Amino acid sequence: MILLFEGSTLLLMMAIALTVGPVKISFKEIYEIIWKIIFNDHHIFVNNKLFSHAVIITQVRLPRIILSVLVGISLASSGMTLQALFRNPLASPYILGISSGAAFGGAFAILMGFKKAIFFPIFSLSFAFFTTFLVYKLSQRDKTIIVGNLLLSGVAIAAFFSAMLSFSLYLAGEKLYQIIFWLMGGFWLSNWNKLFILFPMVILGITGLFFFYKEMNLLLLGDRTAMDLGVDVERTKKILLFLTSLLTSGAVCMSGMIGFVGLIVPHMMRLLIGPDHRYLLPASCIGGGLLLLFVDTFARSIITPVEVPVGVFTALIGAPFFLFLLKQQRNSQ
Amino acid sequence: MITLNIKGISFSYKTIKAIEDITFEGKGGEIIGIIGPNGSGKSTLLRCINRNLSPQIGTVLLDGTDISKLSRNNIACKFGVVPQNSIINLPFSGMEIVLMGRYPRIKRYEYKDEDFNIAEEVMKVTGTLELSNKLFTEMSGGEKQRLIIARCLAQEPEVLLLDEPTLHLDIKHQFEIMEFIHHLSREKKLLVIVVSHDINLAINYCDKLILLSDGKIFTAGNVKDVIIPENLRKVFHVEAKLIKDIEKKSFYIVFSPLN
Repeated sequence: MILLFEGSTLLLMMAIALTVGPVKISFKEIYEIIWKIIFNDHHIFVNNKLFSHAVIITQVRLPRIILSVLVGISLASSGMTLQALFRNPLASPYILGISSGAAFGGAFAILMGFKKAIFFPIFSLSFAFFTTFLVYKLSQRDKTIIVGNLLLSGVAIAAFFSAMLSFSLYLAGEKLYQIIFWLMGGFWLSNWNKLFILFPMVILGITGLFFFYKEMNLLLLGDRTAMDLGVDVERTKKILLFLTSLLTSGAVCMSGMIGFVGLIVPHMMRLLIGPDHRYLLPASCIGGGLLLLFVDTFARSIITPVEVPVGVFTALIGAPFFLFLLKQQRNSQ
Repeated sequence: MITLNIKGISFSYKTIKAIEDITFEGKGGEIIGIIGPNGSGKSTLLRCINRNLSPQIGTVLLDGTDISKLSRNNIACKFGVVPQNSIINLPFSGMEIVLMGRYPRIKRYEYKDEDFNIAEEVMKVTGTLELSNKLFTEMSGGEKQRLIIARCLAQEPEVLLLDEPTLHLDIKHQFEIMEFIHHLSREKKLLVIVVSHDINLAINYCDKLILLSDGKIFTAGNVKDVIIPENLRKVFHVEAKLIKDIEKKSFYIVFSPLN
């Protein structure tokens, strides 16, 4: 029920988001444009105003909306997976430094001057995977994850990659602008090409996660119990770490560093529909899409025509939320 | 009827030897108790049986098949485990926890009617049916333990491995759980292997006992042959006195410090 409600809210929100922007385009017009495009009706080119609006809708707003939803999906689902994996509600790609790793990988690709767009996600993914694995290894002692170690190694690794990032910015020269613009975390450079890269990554990542929701539920009961109930724990963890790296790096490649989505969304959904990953995964995906779409629409319309980077907003909501969770966890111990 | 052969298994944590050269066998319908002082390797031995830990030396044969050749999922269909303590601080309902016992037997996540029926049945026999909708985080120690046993039975195992199943329970529930396990092993021809600190409970309910000392089998066999004051004195370093209960045709042990 909640899933259905969430899904329809997301669709409605996407429709509303299409109307928001510096140029006023009404619902009716959008409807007309989409209708005509679907049925390949070339009368659209006769009406000049409608044509320019059609360009705005299809080339600017639509890709941006889809991109923000996809990024929200990736961040929320990877946050959820990490929380199951580390058995801790504080885990998220941003806090564990995975986003930083992915960002450095991307910056490195730009810096090395790889022209082809495909190198960007490849570098980003490999660094993200490396970081995830490192944090995982550092935070465990005798095969149990220690919360303090987890957060601290996340902080240390994030700091390390931030330093590397600063260094590469220093070396960047004329590419400086390109890197900074990307890193600030926003959707203003959205286009269909980006979508074509991100889309398969998200599909692959989410489909993969769907295959593992049984295992994720069992991992919540502890490694030993998961094993007793038939999970090949080590193998499953590696696959899940890879999938989260894939989703996180995809998101980071497209929109820079957007924090806290992976933290807030799964937590809220857990409160709403419980910890069973069968429902939690789709709920988190939709919730993540909804949140980022909302924040992005808000960010681009609050002080038109100036845009506030989305990352700023998510951090403003997310950081206090993180502290709240931390306090709650202390209380329960 | 199933047979389990443990052949010369040894396990060490890095450099520390936990158990050494353990050999015994059991068959369906038996209850085997593992007793011994702290650190004698009881829990390690239990975990080695279903390869939760992989013993470095030795083999475990179930009906003649080396279980190291089986996948984790196949092992989970044969062995059910009730761990010493189950820390789950997430609001799963009782029913959800028990249904997780069906995981090894279903392909992905689609529960069939059969799975619900089995879950309901095992909850009935463990007296946890009224906990279906109660959240695990809100249950008492005894309720949790009975529910975990229900989850374990939902796996439809052939061997039941229990690590101190009565640890957090009051006396009434201790007997209840042990009576229930006893009944199960007879009824369903399960092989039950249970680690226990409570020697008198072990005497009452086990068919065979294995007395561990420093990771090795000190002595093993029928309860009467193992529970000899001399053995207990040597292994536990306490004075032990055997008291016969003529009415019930059984006996029990009273411990006191060594003089």
